[in-house]
Amino acid sequence: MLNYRKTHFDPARLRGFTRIDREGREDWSFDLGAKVDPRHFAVAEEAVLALNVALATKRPLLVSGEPGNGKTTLARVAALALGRVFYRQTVTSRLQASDLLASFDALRRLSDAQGGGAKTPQAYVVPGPLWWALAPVTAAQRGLSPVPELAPLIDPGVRRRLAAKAAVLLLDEIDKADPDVPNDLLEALDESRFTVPETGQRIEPESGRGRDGVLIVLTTNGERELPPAFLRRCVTLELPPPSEAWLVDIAQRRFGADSEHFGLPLYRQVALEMMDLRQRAADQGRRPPGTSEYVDAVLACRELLHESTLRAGDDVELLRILETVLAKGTAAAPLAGG
Amino acid sequence: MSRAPISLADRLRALADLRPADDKTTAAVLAMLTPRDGHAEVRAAARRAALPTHAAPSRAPTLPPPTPAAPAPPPAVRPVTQPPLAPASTRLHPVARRTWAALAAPPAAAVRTFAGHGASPVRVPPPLLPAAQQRAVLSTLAAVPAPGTTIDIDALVAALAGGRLVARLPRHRRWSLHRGAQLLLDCSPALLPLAHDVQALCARLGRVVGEGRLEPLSFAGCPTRGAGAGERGSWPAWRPPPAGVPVLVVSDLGCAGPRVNADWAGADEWSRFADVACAAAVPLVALVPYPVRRVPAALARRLAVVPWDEDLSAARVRRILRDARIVVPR
Repeated sequence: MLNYRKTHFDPARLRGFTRIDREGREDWSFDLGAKVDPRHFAVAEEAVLALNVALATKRPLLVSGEPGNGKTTLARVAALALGRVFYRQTVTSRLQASDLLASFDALRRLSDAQGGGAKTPQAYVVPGPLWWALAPVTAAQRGLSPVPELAPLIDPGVRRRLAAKAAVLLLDEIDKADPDVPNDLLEALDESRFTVPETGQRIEPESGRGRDGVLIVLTTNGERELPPAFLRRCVTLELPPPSEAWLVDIAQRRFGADSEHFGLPLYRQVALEMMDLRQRAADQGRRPPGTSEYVDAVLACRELLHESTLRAGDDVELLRILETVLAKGTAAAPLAGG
Repeated sequence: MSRAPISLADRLRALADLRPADDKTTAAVLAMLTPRDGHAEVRAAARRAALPTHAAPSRAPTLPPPTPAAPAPPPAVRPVTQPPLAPASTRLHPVARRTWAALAAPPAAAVRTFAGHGASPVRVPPPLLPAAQQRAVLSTLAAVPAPGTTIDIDALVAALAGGRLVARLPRHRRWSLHRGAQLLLDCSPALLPLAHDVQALCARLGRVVGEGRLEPLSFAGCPTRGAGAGERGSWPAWRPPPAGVPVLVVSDLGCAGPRVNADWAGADEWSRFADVACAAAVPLVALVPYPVRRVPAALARRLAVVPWDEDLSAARVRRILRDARIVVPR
């Protein structure tokens, strides 16, 4: 048990987000780019500490761990708990640093010029997610000052409260990018400012944003090594692999423990099979199934199995489902008992 | 000016702000503010990575074979003294230096056994490629030019001004690792002195390019004789990867000669291999632990030869690749 002052981020604050709907029921659902229900997400105490450290030091948080282990959801839950605007960019192998800052639609400008209708260069600037996170006003107007003939762009940030000032920016799977990309982002991440080369305008953080107001969360599956200079500037968190108890806890949060056969016994059995599969996957040098696959497996069992089947102790159907959802070619041999 | 890396000030700020109440929490906070040691990870990965088993060569190699495991020595170990066999000159090429070092070092089995008793760490020579340079060099070696997203305005204006029809928009090229790489490792006796370096290179390249994107295969002599990931006898005929995926060969390209290398392959065989790679439109780069002048000229013209020594840098690799005719798929 880690003991410290949760000055910046406390998962207990998530409770304050419960809403009461018109019929007097609690409404926990919240759409943050994807459906997030904070009750379903168990925040590991290492993750809570890492978020507090990142917020205290105003450094980006680099989260590593197995795929499907809740790295992306952690950023969403942080945005929710902190009441911040949430921006997300999934990194691909073709993404370049400029795509995160600002890109320039030269082709459209060329097309407009050929038709004799070329506009000011500012009209062809496309703000990236880092620009939106640091300076949403200038991003909406594509530059430092508004251009009358240009309609403002719509802020892609997702927010719960209109008054939210600060932001959380998630750069998902940064290890997918070419090695130069993290290095090219160093200045923008460090200084929270950058220049748009096509217009020469220097973009500065707006009030409430900047290092104090923008928490940058980067995730990596460890597919590629990240540059040392980049690592030296990040607070690092490695999410531990899921344990059996952790999985059962998540299933309880998500599905409840009300049913005699679809409750705890099912969660435990699926967790047990999953831990076995993880071990076998590790032996074979393959990717082990993660938490998200476990949740899918429990959901599939609850949807497809009859309670009478479980009551009778007939595992064949259960194992067949788990084979489909969890194994995914991992196991050369069928699951135990199957 | 860029903000400095995480420093003592950051650690103090975090501790003052969060006020950890016990040593365990304090240690957890400080661990999160300590950059991960990438080199340690690579060393661990290199230990895990094992090259395929060497089958007995057709002729006895000149180099001494690994000594079989000896019975465990007593825990009290005398200090290992190194006889002055290794020449002090650094002008020798890497293979010669490693050979001398291997001859001078105590038997590998004894060193392993000592390490098992915790008396002495395993004696591994310093890496041929300096740790600080590894990442930059390897990412440059495996990179191929790819069309970028930004349009090359200068080239476009020049084309339009010259009255040429622009059928394809010119784009700025960038060097990218997105195609992955095929790594061909020569496990013939000529590379035996560099076994540690080859294993470390394989592990590090996997982390730079991405484990899923790297296809490491072994061969003996020349890949045309077969290359595979398993035991030597099971290697199928080498097949070039899809067009555009770079092939990185780690070999002496026959420089060591048939007396040293029982699996020796001559320049003609290597040239045939280079021609197959060229026909398949795959960029071919050879990392050779000998000076380039030792590689036959006819062969050196067919592929990019990068000398593998302590002076290798990313800039030098870039120059070599630029001068070589790297195949760029459309």
